[in-house]
Amino acid sequence: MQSRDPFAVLGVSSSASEDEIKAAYRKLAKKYHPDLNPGDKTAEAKMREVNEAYTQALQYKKNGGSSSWGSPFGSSSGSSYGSYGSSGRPYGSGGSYGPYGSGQHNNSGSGSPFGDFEGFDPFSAFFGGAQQQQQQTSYRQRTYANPDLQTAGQYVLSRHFNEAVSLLNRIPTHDADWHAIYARAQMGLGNRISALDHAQAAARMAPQDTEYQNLLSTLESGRETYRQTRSGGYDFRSAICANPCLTCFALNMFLNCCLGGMGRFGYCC
Amino acid sequence: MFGYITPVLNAMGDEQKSRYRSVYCGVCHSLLSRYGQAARLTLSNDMTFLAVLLDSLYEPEICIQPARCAVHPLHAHSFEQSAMVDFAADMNLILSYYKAADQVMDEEPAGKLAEKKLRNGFHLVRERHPRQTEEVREALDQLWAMEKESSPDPDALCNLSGRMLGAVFVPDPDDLWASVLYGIGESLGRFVYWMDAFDDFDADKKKRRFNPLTSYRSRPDYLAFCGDTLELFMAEAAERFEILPLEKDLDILRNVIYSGVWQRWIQLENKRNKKESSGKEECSNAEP
Repeated sequence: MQSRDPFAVLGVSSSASEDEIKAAYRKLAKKYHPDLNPGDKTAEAKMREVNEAYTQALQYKKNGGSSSWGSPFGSSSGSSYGSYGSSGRPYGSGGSYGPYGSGQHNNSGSGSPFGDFEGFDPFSAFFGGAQQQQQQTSYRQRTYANPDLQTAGQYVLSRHFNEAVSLLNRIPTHDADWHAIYARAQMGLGNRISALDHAQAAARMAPQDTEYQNLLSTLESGRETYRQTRSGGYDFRSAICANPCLTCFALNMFLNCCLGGMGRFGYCC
Repeated sequence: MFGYITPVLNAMGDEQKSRYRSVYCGVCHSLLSRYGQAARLTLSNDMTFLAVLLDSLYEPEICIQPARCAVHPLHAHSFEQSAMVDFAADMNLILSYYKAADQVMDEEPAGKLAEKKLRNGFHLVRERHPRQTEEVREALDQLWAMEKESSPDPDALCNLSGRMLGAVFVPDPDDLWASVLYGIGESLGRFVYWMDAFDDFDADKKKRRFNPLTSYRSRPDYLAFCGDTLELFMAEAAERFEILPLEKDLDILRNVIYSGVWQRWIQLENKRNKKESSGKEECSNAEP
């Protein structure tokens, strides 16, 4: 089952758009859903195959043709929600659509049931797997004159992000290297604002340093996809009403078919 | 809860508008019929988005009904009833109740009445959704504690807001899509918290209230940095959103994700520009 062409499983050509892949998946998922085929082992196996194919096909599209990727979308690896793509249940456990069925779930140890940010893999969230490898490799080759920076860099590599941050906080000079390591440590902790802040600082202070430019551009790479998709038919920003006005107020009321709404968070005004 | 997660209305066709409205009215009706008038007043666009999203993903059985209500006594509007609409209404109540409870702690008079009015409904929801209720409470407890100490760590605050919204985006933790849904809520939670901080900055300053953006405000690239971080959050939300195999209402949902969430940002931008040029400009984009 491993090596089947995911596009063939979904019954679409490899040039199909992401939306076509989604539609094809839904069609098959409805056909093989455990609800509609209770106790049917063949349907169950088929459903699992379809789920895997969907994951693979979508990833193939996202990577622009290369099919290599490690964990499927597994940003919240510590999640007690189970990992997407691994089971044969596209819609619900035990065939239940509703939210009110299988109530309890275990809080797995730490405060957060979803895996806290220690377990969170920021690299896979921000970057594809391949880019991550590249990142880490080029990073590893770097040596710093300041032994404290060297140690902090080692901490980041061994994923001791908190140790890295507290060591970095004790270093008085904040040069481009410092900012870059700080950014990586913050990424490791899932702290996006700080990561971007320091990656920008490193790139600004060392404009010729390709590694630091890359660090920033990989962090911002999701933005390009976001902007591209938006300009592909979902850019309605020009239709946003610039100023509070009566027309908007009327529209607001029109949607607020019931009393109230959220006071200050009206539609346009 | 914040009202930022909303579509650009002017960009929607009549069909889309009435579809969105039927869900909006559905959530409203669900709140009213199960928890009473006070609960209905807490209705937000954020949870309407959640209802449309879950509806599209899970395709529950849907019942569309015409109804009249106080604002539209003459024309009957259709509203949708489904398990997902009810779920979104429940989540709306959880978030609203805790907001009121926080106001009570701050001794704000508005909170006291709201808390009292929502309490019964909240107890019902808590019994029905103990997991979500507990996770929201945990995240909010920490969030508020940090705000009261004027935490200098905006990431921690955003991440807690992410945990809160992530929890309410997941009707069933055992479902295949649970982790993706959680991820979408998480990214949106970070976005709305940061957007709200940006939105409230001047008001907070005036009233000497804590604002997580304070340490960034003096930077020369303050606006650009706020925009960059917000866009980073949304890019992540969109990336996760695009994993879901959605067909139904996809255009409405993408309207929200790619454009609608920026409405407040753009309005504030226009306000700033207007202030600078101090020229007068009427709103010309809205439909008649």
